[in-house]
Amino acid sequence: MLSPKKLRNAALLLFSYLFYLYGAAGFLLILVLSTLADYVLGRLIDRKAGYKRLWLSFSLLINLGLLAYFKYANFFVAEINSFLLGWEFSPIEWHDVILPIGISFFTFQKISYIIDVYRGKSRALVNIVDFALYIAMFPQLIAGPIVRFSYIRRQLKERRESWNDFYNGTLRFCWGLLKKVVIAGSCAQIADVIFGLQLELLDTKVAWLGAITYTLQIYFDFSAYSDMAIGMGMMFGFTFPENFNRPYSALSITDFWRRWHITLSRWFRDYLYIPLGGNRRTTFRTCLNMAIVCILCGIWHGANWTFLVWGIYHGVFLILERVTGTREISHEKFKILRRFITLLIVVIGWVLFRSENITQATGFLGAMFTLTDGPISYELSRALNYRNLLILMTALPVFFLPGDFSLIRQLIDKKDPAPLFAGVVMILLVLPYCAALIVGGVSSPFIYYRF
Amino acid sequence: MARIGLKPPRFNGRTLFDNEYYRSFDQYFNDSFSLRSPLIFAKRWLDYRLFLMTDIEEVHVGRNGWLYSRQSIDDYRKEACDRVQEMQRLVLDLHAIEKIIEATGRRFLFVVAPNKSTIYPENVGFVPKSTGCDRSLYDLFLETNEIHPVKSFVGLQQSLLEARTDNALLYDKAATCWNDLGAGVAAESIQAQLIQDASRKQAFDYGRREAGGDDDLARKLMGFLSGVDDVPVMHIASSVQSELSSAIVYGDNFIENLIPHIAQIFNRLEIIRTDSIPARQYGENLRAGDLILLERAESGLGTMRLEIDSLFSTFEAEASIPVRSRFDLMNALPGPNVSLVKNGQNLEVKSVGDRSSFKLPAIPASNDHIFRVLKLTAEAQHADLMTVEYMADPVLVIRKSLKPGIKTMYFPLPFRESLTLKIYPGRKAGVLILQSAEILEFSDIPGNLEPDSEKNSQDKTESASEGSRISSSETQIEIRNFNTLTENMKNVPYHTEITNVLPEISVSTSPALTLNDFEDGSIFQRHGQSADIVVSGTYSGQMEAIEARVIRNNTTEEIVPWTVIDSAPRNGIFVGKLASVPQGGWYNLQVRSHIEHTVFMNGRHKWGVGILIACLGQSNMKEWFFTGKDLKAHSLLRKFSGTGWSKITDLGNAAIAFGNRIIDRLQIPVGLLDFSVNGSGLRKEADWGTGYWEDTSPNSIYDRFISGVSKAGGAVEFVVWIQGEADAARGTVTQNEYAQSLEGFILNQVRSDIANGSGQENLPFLIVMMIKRPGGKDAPHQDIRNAQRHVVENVTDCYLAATTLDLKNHGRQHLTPKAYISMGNRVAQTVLYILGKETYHRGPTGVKKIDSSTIEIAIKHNGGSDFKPVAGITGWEVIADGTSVPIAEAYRHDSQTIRIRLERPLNAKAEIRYLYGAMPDVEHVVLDNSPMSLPLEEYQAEIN
Repeated sequence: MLSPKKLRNAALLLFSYLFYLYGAAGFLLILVLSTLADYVLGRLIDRKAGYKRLWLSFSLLINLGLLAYFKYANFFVAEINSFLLGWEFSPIEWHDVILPIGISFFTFQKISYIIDVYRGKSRALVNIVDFALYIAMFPQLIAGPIVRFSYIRRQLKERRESWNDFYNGTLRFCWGLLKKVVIAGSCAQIADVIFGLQLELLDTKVAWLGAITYTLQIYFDFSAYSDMAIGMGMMFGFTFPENFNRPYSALSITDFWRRWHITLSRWFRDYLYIPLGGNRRTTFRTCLNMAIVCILCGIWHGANWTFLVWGIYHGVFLILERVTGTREISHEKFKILRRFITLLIVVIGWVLFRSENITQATGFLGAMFTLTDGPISYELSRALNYRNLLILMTALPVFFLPGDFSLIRQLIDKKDPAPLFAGVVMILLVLPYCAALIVGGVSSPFIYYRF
Repeated sequence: MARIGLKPPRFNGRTLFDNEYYRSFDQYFNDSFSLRSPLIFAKRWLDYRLFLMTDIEEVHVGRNGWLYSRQSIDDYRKEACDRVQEMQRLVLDLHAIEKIIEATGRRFLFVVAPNKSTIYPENVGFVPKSTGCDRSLYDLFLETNEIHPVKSFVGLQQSLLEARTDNALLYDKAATCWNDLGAGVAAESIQAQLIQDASRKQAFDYGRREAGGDDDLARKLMGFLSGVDDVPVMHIASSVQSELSSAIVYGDNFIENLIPHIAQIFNRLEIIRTDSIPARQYGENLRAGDLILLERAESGLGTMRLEIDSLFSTFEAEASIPVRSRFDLMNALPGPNVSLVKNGQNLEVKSVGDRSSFKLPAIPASNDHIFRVLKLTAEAQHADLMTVEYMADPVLVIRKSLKPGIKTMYFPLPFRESLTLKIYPGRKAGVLILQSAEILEFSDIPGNLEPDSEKNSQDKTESASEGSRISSSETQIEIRNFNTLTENMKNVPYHTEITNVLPEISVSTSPALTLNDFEDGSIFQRHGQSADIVVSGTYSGQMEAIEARVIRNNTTEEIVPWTVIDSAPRNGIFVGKLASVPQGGWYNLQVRSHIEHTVFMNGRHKWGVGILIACLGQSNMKEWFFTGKDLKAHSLLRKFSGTGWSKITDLGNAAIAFGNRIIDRLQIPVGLLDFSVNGSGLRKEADWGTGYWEDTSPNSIYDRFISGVSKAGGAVEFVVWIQGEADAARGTVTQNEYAQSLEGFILNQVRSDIANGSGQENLPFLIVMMIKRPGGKDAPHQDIRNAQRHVVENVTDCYLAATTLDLKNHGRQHLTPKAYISMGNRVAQTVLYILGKETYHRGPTGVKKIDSSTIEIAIKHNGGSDFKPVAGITGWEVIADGTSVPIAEAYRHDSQTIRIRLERPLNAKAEIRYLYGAMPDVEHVVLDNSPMSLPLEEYQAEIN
């Protein structure tokens, strides 16, 4: 609001690059150069001349090549070396590659742009500043939401800032901060202790506690980031797409993926699943397409067997729901039972997701489903202090609330001043505590920061 | 503490894409954010008051806001069942100490101060306990002690539990240790043990000081340091004539409140806070006290180091030991890979490494009336680690460091009829000469411990050994042979195994030799200009004698000619010494039969004789080996990391710069023994989960270091220490605590356990000062630097290895790759200086005031003849009245002096510091004009 309208995108871009410099200075050039490449390629594709397919392939090669190198090279070399050592061959000499932050997110945004232009759904941007801002916009640069080009194109040019949006954005940002630092942070303290325990020290109750606290942690952590990104976007006049819609109220895994990391699910749907044929072909082909999408979605999260297995695990349930037709059951039928079963499947999935390796995952799941009772560790008893228990109790309703309930929406949209006032006062009271947790170094980094 | 000179990191074109710049800026912002401390303080207060919890690991919040130390909670959880042997060993050691001290007419007391959680368990709150054990270390100690009690032990638990009432707390709610009232109760119990005549007891004045006052845990919980620095050594003389003359008291934090009480019992007290007894760094005269009192907190039982050998060496000469039984070493039974040869009175033990062992067959052990200690005198030819196993149930394992020369070792024998000892002479091949074995017998002296010299003397003369009473004269000591003892041991199970017959191998097979070749690239520590190399191997067939020689690697150039190394090989093994192998490398070894030269074997691996340098510390030492690829390592540079030797190629700027510079000058192999551990603290409070260096328990980082050095030969020429960040980071370790710990670490641990391979009197210990943090909050770091400086100044043969404050930081705690080169070169400079190969820039020699606002600093050149820059010198701070006085300019006056002009005159007493302050600007420090461009050293002085 402070900069002239013509320069507002340039100002935002400058701050976005400064933001990236601050977090990953060494990789700014990669971001800038790959942005430039896609800008040029987008323009070439948009000229309606020949070689559109070639330019598209070239862009995909650059983007997916960078992603593959930075994200998966370490993993593949480690696996090959493990194999070579097993056969007593010399391992490949390799220095670990550092992952540029946010690469998974901005790569997907660039791909969405190039494909939209290729498909003719959007014209390529002429103004390079607008394009660079779309790729690097700092509120959602690191961990989403993944904003599709077609969704934001108009806002890049025609958005309007207002004090009301600024106020609502601030509220939403503070809400996200509170969720992240207080709720996710407390859940993380418990979950980290439990997932750090040796497998033989896990008993049934502790394993379930770990699974549930991590389930809460990942939701409050990731959705908090999205809240903060959406809130900051609102402050600058943008409307980013929602990324979460009460995922733990889902009635099926299909429903879960409509509510969890919505922008990623939709990206995969529009840019992978549908081009593969979607559900318009045979059941087998549909299932195969779903399996491909789920596997890729799994390894998108990182180069580890646990992510692959997590993707396959979700894929199996999605396919089962399609094959058995359970996804077609009316929303009102067996609602509680279906919510419970879905939540159970999701919780088990998070154990796969959180584990360091498959051995830990199987051991952890074994502890969850084998009745044992042992002493809890002192570290866990410390983590289960009054503060964390109180916050855990506050967070637990997320499993039981109606699927369309949103507290922050209630606060923002409700015109009744009393709850709004109470909410604002509560946020203002807790904010200093959040600040103390951050400056004291107690707060843990965002989970999706490393993806 | 005022944050002096807190400045943001400087920005320039090169820092734009440097991640570390932004991290530094982040750190600077974090440190200079004025609301940071109030916010954290408020949060901690809320956590404690509202939620009865804390994020501070060292503090446990119990019921009703009671605070307990984390260590005491570990004990409270009673999960120490796997440490039974540790406590058995402690009780045995205490018995031995008690006996040897009392045999000199002195008295000994061992006092355990119970944890707060032991006396006030009801306020601990919920703490999960293991279902399988239910024993704390103290429980195990009490159980073990109950079977064969150490009579000098003063148990305080019962008296404290009886004395506690709801309105008179013995431990304060927010303190770790007992308060004055609790200490008074403890002092009464101690007095009761010492003086049994009630009329002669001191009536303690409990009203003298107000109970309570200490709140160390509350301060820790709020993030402050634990308290004022404790003075490690105190001498207290009582003005009132007391019942007992003098005592040496070893204690921990519990001692503080105890001092006023026990000072009333003694005329003189020497109080030493230490974990090691004796504490060599304080140079106490153990023989000056009538009583030695050892106080230990319950939670500190596992970390106490009792130096039995040292205590026995101190007291044995004046001790009245009724019976000394000689043990014929020829009764020893060879085990695998060992040959035992009687040589006069000596037993020569040839071993080929850790697979070799032999047994000392059944010897009488201790019982309720006689406590026995085996005294073994051995001559080692190289540094190694000898392991002795008590073949009892459970097996007790005792390890002793051997260094070249004669060592007398003492082994308290457990309470059982007899005992067989299995001895592993060392981890490396070598010859160990056992010169003598004696069993010292201490008869139980009944009666009390009153200071009645007549009675005492009578008690001593009445003491008798089992089966034979000694003469009434104290000076007459019975000496008998083990053979006479064996007569009394006919029912001893192992007796029948005793034999003089050494097994010989069959001679029917054709002769062949196998050499135990050295690991490729291994380096032996030189002694002077050469080293004695132990050569070993196995043979088959008839073998009269074995000879060996050294040739230059892959040539026929003879370095050491054929020399008989073992004239009488036995038991299928040969071991011998190849003396005076000149320093240098690389070499190969060859062995052959002295008679049949065709029976021959070549060593395939290359090795050398040179300098071994132990590299200890945390991440900045680890970075020596893993940061930077700007240099190529000299072919004579090797690294040893515990598992074996490896070549350094191009990774590790500091290690390569350091090693190359020494090799370039000396042209001999250099081996860097990397035992650094990321994140390791010196003290337990700084243990981040990766270990701490004071911990000597099995498989601790220190234990792994000792074992590793032993594997690499056992001796080193230098130790380089780069550590302190972990102790500074959480601000839980004070300057004095760190200094005490580092002194103890050098004197009681490193120099005690590692052989000195240098020509210096003591093993040189080189301390690299902690590097500068890029942002603020340097105060705890400055404390650690001050402590390091204190140690350098107070410990003989301890050196400031390098000034580092001017080196460029690469984030919070680490240097840039280029800066590591400077650091490596500077440490090499110190090594070469100690070896007499380099001069060394020693820095400022004095400071004087020219006028009220001008100061002149004289500097001494040893390396260069001048310095730069000529103007705009930075790194200086002038402090007056606790605040920094702005410096207008600092410039070169002449080649010997620097002048500093201040912006305002100095009216009060002031202090000048160079590269010493919290955050000095060090962009333009003083560098001499020598090729090394060495910086002026850190300096601190008062301005008169």
